Amino acid sequence: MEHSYIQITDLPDELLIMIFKKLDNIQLLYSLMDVNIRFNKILHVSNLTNRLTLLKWSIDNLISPLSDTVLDRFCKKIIPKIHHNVEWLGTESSSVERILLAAKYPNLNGLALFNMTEDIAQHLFNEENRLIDIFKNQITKLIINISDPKNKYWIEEVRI
Amino acid sequence: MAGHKIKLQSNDGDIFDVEVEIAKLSITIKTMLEDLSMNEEEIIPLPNINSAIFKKVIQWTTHHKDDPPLPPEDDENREKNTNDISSWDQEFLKVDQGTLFELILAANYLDIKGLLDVTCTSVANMIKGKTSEEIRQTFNIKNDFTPQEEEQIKKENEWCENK
Repeated sequence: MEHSYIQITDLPDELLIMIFKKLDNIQLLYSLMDVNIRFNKILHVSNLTNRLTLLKWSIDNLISPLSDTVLDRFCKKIIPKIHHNVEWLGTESSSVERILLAAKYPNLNGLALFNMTEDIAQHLFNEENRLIDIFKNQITKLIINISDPKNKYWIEEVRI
Repeated sequence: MAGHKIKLQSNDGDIFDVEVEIAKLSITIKTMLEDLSMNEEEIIPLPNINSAIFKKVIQWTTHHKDDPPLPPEDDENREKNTNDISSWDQEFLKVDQGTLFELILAANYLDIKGLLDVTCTSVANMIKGKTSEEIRQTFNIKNDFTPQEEEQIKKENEWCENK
């Protein structure tokens, strides 16, 4: 069979979106943001970036924060380009402050915080915290997961 | 009728005798035969597909002719586990990138959901874990940002770093 010279950039946008939808948020943005102008446009105009889940799931269903290197790239290079699209953010509680301070999120209205501890909650929801306005005036749906390391189950509270 | 064949012609002129049952895995061909009342004795042209790619498509549809239909996919339940390509499909997809992209275009034109799904998954697997620069190298993509845009990216990064 002769080799074909068709390239990925010859595919129409609808097929590129179909491929991109096979990737989760982290894989999608980490690998495809700033590849070229067209890919950036697709990431902006499609609904691929309105729900952002920035955490790691292990095989045994435990949640942990992204590595510093990956989180760094997201906060410095990726989020500043997609922050207007983000309507929903799911993240590990210890990372949320850094992610929310990386840019303004005018359309953010939902937040899921995993591995919440008493210390982090007291810090985040304190009146002195720079993010308190977001929690008070912007977030209409909040999900908090509290891990119980002894029993290995999740306690989930939803406020709408 | 099992074993009954129709004639399909690729854009480079080759004519293929294909079992109706297998050809109808393509919704495009099924529509031609059923809704447009095309005569099964007629040669059905496939202007967007060359013979090399069509051979691969027939190979795939023949192997998968008894597969159950794929469930509908939407944004909420879209499949993210992109590792689950069967060993037969993995072997089938050991082709050069150009052929893989031609298979995607052919699967889309012929409306063969299973083939489109597995070929897109295969490309997604090639993307996973790579940086943007590695993506450019892997897929031979030109960095077409202007110097001004590159400068803008740097400024945005500085803004973040100063926070």
